[in-house]
Amino acid sequence: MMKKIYLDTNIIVRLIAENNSTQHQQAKKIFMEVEAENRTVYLSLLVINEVLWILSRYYQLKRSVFVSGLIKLFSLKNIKTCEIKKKDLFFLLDKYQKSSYDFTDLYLNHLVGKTGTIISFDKDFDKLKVKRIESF
Amino acid sequence: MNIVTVSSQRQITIPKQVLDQLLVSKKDKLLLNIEDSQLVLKPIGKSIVEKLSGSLAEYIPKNKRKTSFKKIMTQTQKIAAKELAQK
Repeated sequence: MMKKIYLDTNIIVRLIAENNSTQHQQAKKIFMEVEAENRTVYLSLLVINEVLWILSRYYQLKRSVFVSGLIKLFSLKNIKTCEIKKKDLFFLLDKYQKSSYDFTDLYLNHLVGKTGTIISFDKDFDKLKVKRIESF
Repeated sequence: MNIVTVSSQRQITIPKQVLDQLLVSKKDKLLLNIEDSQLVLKPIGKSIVEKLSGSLAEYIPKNKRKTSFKKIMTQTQKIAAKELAQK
Protein backbone atom coordinates (compact mmCIF):
# COMPACT_ATOMS: atom_id res chain seq x y z
CA MET A 1 0.00 0.00 0.00
CA MET A 2 1.23 3.47 -0.83
CA LYS A 3 2.07 5.70 2.11
CA LYS A 4 -0.27 8.59 2.81
CA ILE A 5 0.96 11.98 1.63
CA TYR A 6 0.03 15.05 3.68
CA LEU A 7 -0.05 18.57 2.20
CA ASP A 8 1.93 21.30 3.91
CA THR A 9 1.02 24.99 4.00
CA ASN A 10 3.79 26.17 1.66
CA ILE A 11 2.63 24.01 -1.26
CA ILE A 12 -0.82 25.62 -1.16
CA VAL A 13 0.46 29.17 -0.67
CA ARG A 14 3.05 28.85 -3.43
CA LEU A 15 0.43 27.56 -5.86
CA ILE A 16 -1.94 30.47 -5.51
CA ALA A 17 0.18 33.42 -4.38
CA GLU A 18 3.05 33.14 -6.87
CA ASN A 19 3.12 32.74 -10.60
CA ASN A 20 6.64 32.20 -11.83
CA SER A 21 8.93 30.80 -9.14
CA THR A 22 10.39 27.29 -9.19
CA GLN A 23 8.36 26.39 -6.09
CA HIS A 24 5.22 27.64 -7.83
CA GLN A 25 5.88 25.37 -10.81
CA GLN A 26 6.54 22.42 -8.48
CA ALA A 27 3.37 23.11 -6.49
CA LYS A 28 1.32 23.36 -9.69
CA LYS A 29 2.66 20.04 -10.90
CA ILE A 30 1.68 18.42 -7.60
CA PHE A 31 -1.87 19.76 -7.75
CA MET A 32 -2.24 18.84 -11.43
CA GLU A 33 -1.45 15.24 -10.48
CA VAL A 34 -4.02 15.41 -7.70
CA GLU A 35 -6.62 16.94 -10.03
CA ALA A 36 -5.96 14.24 -12.65
CA GLU A 37 -6.61 11.76 -9.82
CA ASN A 38 -3.19 10.16 -10.24
CA ARG A 39 -2.36 11.01 -6.61
CA THR A 40 -4.21 11.46 -3.35
CA VAL A 41 -3.13 13.92 -0.67
CA TYR A 42 -4.38 14.58 2.87
CA LEU A 43 -5.13 18.02 4.22
CA SER A 44 -5.11 18.95 7.91
CA LEU A 45 -7.15 21.72 9.52
CA LEU A 46 -3.92 23.05 11.06
CA VAL A 47 -2.55 23.58 7.56
CA ILE A 48 -5.76 25.27 6.43
CA ASN A 49 -5.57 27.55 9.47
CA GLU A 50 -1.98 28.53 8.60
CA VAL A 51 -2.95 29.25 4.99
CA LEU A 52 -5.77 31.52 6.20
CA TRP A 53 -3.46 33.38 8.61
CA ILE A 54 -0.81 33.92 5.92
CA LEU A 55 -3.25 35.12 3.27
CA SER A 56 -5.28 37.37 5.56
CA ARG A 57 -2.67 38.74 7.93
CA TYR A 58 0.73 38.45 6.27
CA TYR A 59 -0.39 39.24 2.70
CA GLN A 60 -3.32 41.32 4.02
CA LEU A 61 -5.73 39.96 1.42
CA LYS A 62 -9.46 40.37 1.87
CA ARG A 63 -11.31 37.16 2.66
CA SER A 64 -13.56 37.73 -0.35
CA VAL A 65 -10.48 37.57 -2.60
CA PHE A 66 -9.20 34.16 -1.56
CA VAL A 67 -11.79 31.98 0.21
CA SER A 68 -13.85 30.85 -2.79
CA GLY A 69 -10.65 29.79 -4.58
CA LEU A 70 -9.58 27.70 -1.60
CA ILE A 71 -12.98 26.02 -1.48
CA LYS A 72 -12.65 25.16 -5.19
CA LEU A 73 -9.14 23.80 -4.64
CA PHE A 74 -10.08 21.73 -1.60
CA SER A 75 -13.07 20.35 -3.47
CA LEU A 76 -10.72 18.32 -5.69
CA LYS A 77 -11.78 14.73 -5.25
CA ASN A 78 -8.29 13.49 -4.39
CA ILE A 79 -7.71 15.99 -1.59
CA LYS A 80 -8.91 14.24 1.55
CA THR A 81 -9.54 16.28 4.68
CA CYS A 82 -8.38 15.17 8.12
CA GLU A 83 -10.28 15.97 11.34
CA ILE A 84 -13.39 17.26 9.55
CA LYS A 85 -15.78 16.31 6.74
CA LYS A 86 -15.47 18.38 3.57
CA LYS A 87 -19.11 19.46 3.80
CA ASP A 88 -18.47 20.92 7.29
CA LEU A 89 -15.17 22.47 6.22
CA PHE A 90 -16.84 24.31 3.33
CA PHE A 91 -19.61 25.47 5.65
CA LEU A 92 -16.97 26.89 8.04
CA LEU A 93 -14.96 28.50 5.23
CA ASP A 94 -18.11 30.11 3.89
CA LYS A 95 -18.88 31.47 7.40
CA TYR A 96 -15.26 32.64 7.66
CA GLN A 97 -15.59 34.52 4.36
CA LYS A 98 -18.82 36.23 5.38
CA SER A 99 -17.67 37.28 8.86
CA SER A 100 -14.63 38.56 10.70
CA TYR A 101 -14.36 35.60 13.08
CA ASP A 102 -11.14 33.66 13.47
CA PHE A 103 -11.23 30.30 11.78
CA THR A 104 -10.23 28.68 15.10
CA ASP A 105 -13.26 30.25 16.80
CA LEU A 106 -15.55 29.01 14.04
CA TYR A 107 -14.11 25.51 14.32
CA LEU A 108 -14.48 25.49 18.11
CA ASN A 109 -18.04 26.68 17.68
CA HIS A 110 -18.61 23.79 15.27
CA LEU A 111 -17.16 21.32 17.80
CA VAL A 112 -19.22 22.71 20.66
CA GLY A 113 -22.37 22.45 18.55
CA LYS A 114 -25.78 23.04 20.05
CA THR A 115 -25.28 21.00 23.19
CA GLY A 116 -21.74 21.81 24.33
CA THR A 117 -20.25 24.70 26.27
CA ILE A 118 -17.01 26.57 25.72
CA ILE A 119 -14.78 27.77 28.51
CA SER A 120 -13.11 30.97 27.35
CA PHE A 121 -12.51 34.62 28.26
CA ASP A 122 -13.14 35.60 24.63
CA LYS A 123 -16.47 37.45 24.39
CA ASP A 124 -16.49 36.95 20.61
CA PHE A 125 -18.08 33.56 21.25
CA ASP A 126 -21.20 35.27 22.64
CA LYS A 127 -21.84 36.72 19.16
CA LEU A 128 -21.65 33.19 17.75
CA LYS A 129 -24.48 32.27 20.15
CA VAL A 130 -22.45 29.50 21.73
CA LYS A 131 -22.83 28.82 25.46
CA ARG A 132 -19.74 30.25 27.17
CA ILE A 133 -18.49 30.00 30.72
CA GLU A 134 -15.39 31.54 32.31
CA SER A 135 -15.04 29.09 35.20
CA PHE A 136 -16.40 25.68 36.21
CA MET B 1 0.78 16.63 -37.11
CA ASN B 2 -0.90 13.46 -35.91
CA ILE B 3 -3.09 10.93 -37.68
CA VAL B 4 -5.85 9.44 -35.55
CA THR B 5 -8.24 6.65 -36.46
CA VAL B 6 -11.94 6.66 -35.79
CA SER B 7 -12.70 3.38 -34.00
CA SER B 8 -15.62 1.07 -34.61
CA GLN B 9 -17.31 2.87 -31.69
CA ARG B 10 -16.67 6.26 -33.41
CA GLN B 11 -14.06 7.16 -30.78
CA ILE B 12 -10.69 8.79 -31.36
CA THR B 13 -7.62 8.99 -29.09
CA ILE B 14 -5.96 12.35 -28.74
CA PRO B 15 -2.20 12.08 -28.10
CA LYS B 16 -1.19 12.98 -24.54
CA GLN B 17 1.38 15.58 -25.60
CA VAL B 18 -1.28 17.43 -27.59
CA LEU B 19 -3.57 17.61 -24.55
CA ASP B 20 -0.67 18.52 -22.23
CA GLN B 21 0.26 21.37 -24.53
CA LEU B 22 -3.26 22.77 -24.25
CA LEU B 23 -3.40 22.05 -20.48
CA VAL B 24 -6.35 19.75 -20.99
CA SER B 25 -6.64 17.24 -18.16
CA LYS B 26 -8.54 14.00 -17.97
CA LYS B 27 -12.30 14.54 -17.73
CA ASP B 28 -12.13 18.12 -19.03
CA LYS B 29 -14.76 18.96 -21.60
CA LEU B 30 -14.03 19.95 -25.19
CA LEU B 31 -16.26 21.86 -27.55
CA LEU B 32 -16.65 20.01 -30.86
CA ASN B 33 -17.47 22.05 -33.97
CA ILE B 34 -17.29 21.83 -37.75
CA GLU B 35 -15.54 24.79 -39.39
CA ASP B 36 -15.00 24.76 -43.17
CA SER B 37 -15.21 20.97 -43.32
CA GLN B 38 -12.73 20.69 -40.44
CA LEU B 39 -13.35 19.19 -37.02
CA VAL B 40 -12.32 21.70 -34.37
CA LEU B 41 -11.97 20.76 -30.70
CA LYS B 42 -11.75 23.65 -28.22
CA PRO B 43 -11.07 23.19 -24.51
CA ILE B 44 -13.93 24.55 -22.43
CA GLY B 45 -12.43 26.54 -19.60
CA LYS B 46 -9.38 25.31 -17.76
CA SER B 47 -8.85 22.95 -14.90
CA ILE B 48 -9.44 24.19 -11.34
CA VAL B 49 -5.71 24.07 -10.60
CA GLU B 50 -4.94 25.97 -13.79
CA LYS B 51 -7.48 28.63 -12.86
CA LEU B 52 -6.17 28.99 -9.32
CA SER B 53 -2.51 28.81 -10.20
CA GLY B 54 -1.02 32.23 -9.40
CA SER B 55 -4.52 33.68 -9.03
CA LEU B 56 -3.54 35.77 -5.99
CA ALA B 57 -0.13 36.84 -7.30
CA GLU B 58 -1.39 40.21 -8.53
CA TYR B 59 -2.71 41.05 -5.06
CA ILE B 60 0.59 40.37 -3.28
CA PRO B 61 2.44 43.60 -2.43
CA LYS B 62 5.76 43.90 -4.30
CA ASN B 63 7.82 43.95 -1.10
CA LYS B 64 6.34 40.60 -0.09
CA ARG B 65 7.09 38.73 -3.30
CA LYS B 66 9.93 36.25 -3.43
CA THR B 67 10.06 35.95 0.35
CA SER B 68 11.38 32.72 1.85
CA PHE B 69 8.66 30.61 3.40
CA LYS B 70 10.50 30.56 6.71
CA LYS B 71 10.25 34.34 6.88
CA ILE B 72 6.57 34.27 5.88
CA MET B 73 5.82 31.83 8.71
CA THR B 74 7.86 33.75 11.31
CA GLN B 75 6.16 37.04 10.42
CA THR B 76 2.70 35.45 10.37
CA GLN B 77 3.25 33.79 13.74
CA LYS B 78 4.32 37.14 15.22
CA ILE B 79 1.15 38.80 13.92
CA ALA B 80 -1.00 35.89 15.12
CA ALA B 81 0.59 35.86 18.58
CA LYS B 82 0.03 39.59 18.97
CA GLU B 83 -3.62 39.39 17.91
CA LEU B 84 -4.41 36.35 20.02
CA ALA B 85 -2.78 37.86 23.11
CA GLN B 86 -5.03 40.92 22.79
CA LYS B 87 -8.21 38.83 22.97
